Amino acid sequence: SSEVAQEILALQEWRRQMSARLQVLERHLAWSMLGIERTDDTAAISKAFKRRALELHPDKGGDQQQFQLLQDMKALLIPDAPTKSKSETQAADEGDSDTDDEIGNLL
Amino acid sequence: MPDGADDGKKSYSMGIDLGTTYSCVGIFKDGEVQIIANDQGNRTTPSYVAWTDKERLLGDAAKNQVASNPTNTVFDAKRLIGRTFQDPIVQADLKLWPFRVVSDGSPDDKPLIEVMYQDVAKKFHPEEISSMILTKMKLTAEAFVGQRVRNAVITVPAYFNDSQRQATKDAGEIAGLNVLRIVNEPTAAAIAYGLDTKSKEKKTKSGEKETNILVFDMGGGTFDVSILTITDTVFEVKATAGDPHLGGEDFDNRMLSYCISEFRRKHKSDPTRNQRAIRRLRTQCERAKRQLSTQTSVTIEVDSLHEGQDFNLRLSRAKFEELCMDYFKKAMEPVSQCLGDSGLPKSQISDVVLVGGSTRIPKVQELISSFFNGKQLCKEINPDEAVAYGAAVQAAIVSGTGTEEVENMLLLDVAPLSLGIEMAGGMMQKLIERNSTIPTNKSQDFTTAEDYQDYVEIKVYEGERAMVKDNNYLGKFVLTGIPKTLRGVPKIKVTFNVDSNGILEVTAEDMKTHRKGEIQITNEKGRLSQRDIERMLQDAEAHKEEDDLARGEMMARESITVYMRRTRKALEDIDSEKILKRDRERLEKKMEEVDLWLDEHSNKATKEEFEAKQRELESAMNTIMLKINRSESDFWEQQAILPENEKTIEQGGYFLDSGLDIRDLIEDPD
Repeated sequence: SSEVAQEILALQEWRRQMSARLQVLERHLAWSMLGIERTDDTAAISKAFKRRALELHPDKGGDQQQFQLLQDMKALLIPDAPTKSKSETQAADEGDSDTDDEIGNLL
Repeated sequence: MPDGADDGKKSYSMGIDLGTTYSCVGIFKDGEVQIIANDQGNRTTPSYVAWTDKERLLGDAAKNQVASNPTNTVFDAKRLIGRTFQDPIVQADLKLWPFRVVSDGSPDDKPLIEVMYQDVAKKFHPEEISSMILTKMKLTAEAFVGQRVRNAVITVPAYFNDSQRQATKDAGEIAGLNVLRIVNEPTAAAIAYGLDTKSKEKKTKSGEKETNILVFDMGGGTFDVSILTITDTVFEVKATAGDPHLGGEDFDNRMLSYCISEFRRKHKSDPTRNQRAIRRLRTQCERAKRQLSTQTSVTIEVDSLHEGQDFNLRLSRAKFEELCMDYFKKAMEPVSQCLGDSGLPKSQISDVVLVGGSTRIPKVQELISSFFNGKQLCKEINPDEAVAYGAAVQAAIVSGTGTEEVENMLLLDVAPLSLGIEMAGGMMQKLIERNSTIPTNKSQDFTTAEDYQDYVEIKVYEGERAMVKDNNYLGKFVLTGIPKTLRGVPKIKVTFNVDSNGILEVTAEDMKTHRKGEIQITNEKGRLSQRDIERMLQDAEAHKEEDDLARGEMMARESITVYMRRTRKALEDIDSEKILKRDRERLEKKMEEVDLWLDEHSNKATKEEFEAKQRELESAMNTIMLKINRSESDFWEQQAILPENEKTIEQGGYFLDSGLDIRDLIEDPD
């Protein structure tokens, strides 16, 4: 059973790394989609979102899937929008900010 | 390609504020929004439909005869639309309506409004009543632009749920409209505010500035609060809250109950079952309520209200406030919730914008102002017209028929309620959170719980509570045609999409085969079926011919009346030397004859008869004018310098290219 325990630990570690890597990649995509440099300034992120929305919104001739992606990207970068259920977004965000740079360096 | 630009000819798109008590229509024309007055000259039209022995009446005509025909005059369709008959709100409203409402008896339990028309009981869905009001608004717009208008943006309260939105869209289709978009009322009002503010600021400063506003929209029947951030041309709704059943009519009802109890106390008799008395009293209550926004007390008077007894009551503003105070206080809850949801502190709200007739009530203003610590409220925009104004702008944006300034604008609205599905144990699994920017979608994979199961049933709810039983059941979606295999093996991706109208659509895809047609969805949202809509559309089309005919007659009647007036004036102005006494008398006789004919036939003559009568008169007039003009040698010279294409001369006959003088061809009426 110690072998199983070992494997579980290894897989958990693998999962942790994969999810961290996934988050990093998602964030890279998010920044590039918004067309701005990395920033913690939520106002700047919102502003960039609106600028892109003017191009990607279906009313502006954009594609709904693209606009959905843009919304998802914004939610990723500003996760604690007050109206979204806290538990869900916080869970996804847990330990994210500290591992982000760490993993970023590993890339 | 945007709607409305499908044919080369310039077509217009209108914005309709379909209100509980009044409706309003606007159109973007020549670079600005025009709010259009109806045939009575009113910029808002009562949302009333009535059936008399002879005809169907819409708008002002319907409301004006309500006291004499209370059971066949229908209003408040907006309070029924998208609800079931058993809905407690419908059951409560029923008791106050003079018209009959019954269930359609189907499992959907849809309400039907019953009226008597030419001795036959006719039943209508609320959607059909709304479609008739929409038709009236459409005719108003068409009369203004002088051409058919099919494209429309229709507004709904932001807090309307999925069924109410869908039903409103159906009403538009029944009216034969191409519904470009269902837009939230406070959002539309925010556009009006935004454009107004922008035009004022243009002179002083430009550049990107963020403004947070709260729109407080309380109308005749519904109440909404929305918080928006306006950044340059982008209007982003942060949060919305409200009560789809709170408005001026509730205040009228409170006053009415009070008046009835006063009458009972004084006269020891009960007018409750006397529909005509109740209607007369309600009308006076509504009037008194309006007056109390500017006066501190009013007298409500109705002569011979019931059993020969007059009604007379002095009502102070303070008493009115006392009667409605619980409603006013209730209205502050959504304000507080909306602020909480937006994540903005009160201090970050730069303007509180008031929309809807009920925001004229001083106590309502006082409560909002004190909620924002004594803040000055924004009353710059017209509370009755702002929603239609914004809807007209949105119509121009969506159809691409606006100016550059308008077409650069973007509205980011939200879904007012969370959408989710029932999980084991009756828990609600939210898929789309409330206040999510729309359009939005969320996918969820489903599988089977038992071996060889070939269908999955998904029950969809909207609302914020943890248990589905506390939320509003929207309907179920049944996925069939799932390949029979062991449980947990099938993987079906179900996508919940909330479109730009705030309406839910569900699609499903088998992830193994990636074929979308594979899984069938049975939609049971309790809405009208496409067949229902088509049948109602046909009914409405039949009515439309009647309406169009009536309209043609009205215009022909108007035309001959105007012509009579002009002729009479012309006859007065003519120099007595230039006209033979005999001719003058003949024309006067002719006009007298037409006058008599109009008196007798004006209500039953057809368009053709009116036109024929006008032609008779014209020819009599023309002959005389020609005789007069013959003596004026310069007459034909004047006509000769008309531009080439102006061949028709209003009162002088025809001017032919060949130079042939046709004056002698015109018959003398003798």
